[in-house]
Amino acid sequence: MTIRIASEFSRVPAGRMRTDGPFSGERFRDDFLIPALKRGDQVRIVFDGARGYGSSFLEEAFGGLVRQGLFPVNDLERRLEFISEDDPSIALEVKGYIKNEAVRSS
Amino acid sequence: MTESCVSSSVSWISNIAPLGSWALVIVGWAVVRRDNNRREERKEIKAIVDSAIERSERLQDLGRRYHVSPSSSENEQRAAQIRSDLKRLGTELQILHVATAGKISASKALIELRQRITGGSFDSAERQAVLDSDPLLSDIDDAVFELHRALTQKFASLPR
Repeated sequence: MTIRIASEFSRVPAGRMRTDGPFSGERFRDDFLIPALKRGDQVRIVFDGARGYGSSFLEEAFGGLVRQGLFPVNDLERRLEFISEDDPSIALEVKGYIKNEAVRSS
Repeated sequence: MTESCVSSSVSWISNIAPLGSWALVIVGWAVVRRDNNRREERKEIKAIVDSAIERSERLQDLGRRYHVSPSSSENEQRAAQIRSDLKRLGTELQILHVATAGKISASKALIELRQRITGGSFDSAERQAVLDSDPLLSDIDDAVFELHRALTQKFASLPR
C-alpha cells in the first residue's frame, strides 16, 4: 500500500498536534498511517510533492507511532518504506525518529 | 645491422614522424578539454554550493525571526517559507550529492538544521516567543555554521 502525502493528505502538512491545524503529524499518524499499517503488510510513504516538512510534523507522525506502542519497532522498520527523491534527508530523519523512540522506550 | 636494415628503419621513422606530432596534438587537445570540463563542472558545483549557503543564511534569519515573534498571520507565512526553503535546500544538497558522486554530502547537517528550526513547538498553537538570549537561537546559528563548514570543506577537497 502506498500513501502519497502530497496528493492524499496535504501539500502543506504542518504542525504536531491536531490543535495545531488540519494537517498535523498527529492526524496523519492516526488517520492515515495506523489504518494503513493495520490493513496492509508493506506501507510505502511518498514524501515528494509537498511544500516542505517541519521536524515537529515528522517527529509526531513517526516517533509518535512508536510511542503509541501499537506495532513492534522491528515490525515497523520492516514494513515501512520511505520514498523521498527530492530530499532524501527526510527519509533519514524519519528513520532516526523511529530508532530514537525505540531506544527511549526500551 | 646491415646497411639496408638501417636505411629501412630510418625510412620507417621518417614515415611515422608526422603521425607522432599529430598524436601529440590530439593528446594535448584531450588534456586541455578534460581540464576545461573539470573547471566548468567545478564552477557549476560552486554555484550550487553558494546558493545553498545563501539559502541557509536566509533560513537562519527566518528561523530566528519566527522564534522571537509571537503567533500571527505574518509568522505563519514565515513558517511556510521556512518549510519551503528547507525543501529547496534539501533538493540543492541532493543535486550536489549526485553531481559529485557522493563527495559532497551534507544530509546530517541539513537534518540538524531542520530539527533546530522546525522541531519542538514549531507550527504549534502552544508555541511561545523566545527571548533573544534563548539557547535555541544559538543552536540555529551553530547548525547553519556546521552546514557551511560541511559544504565548503567538501567543496575544497574536490579535485581541481
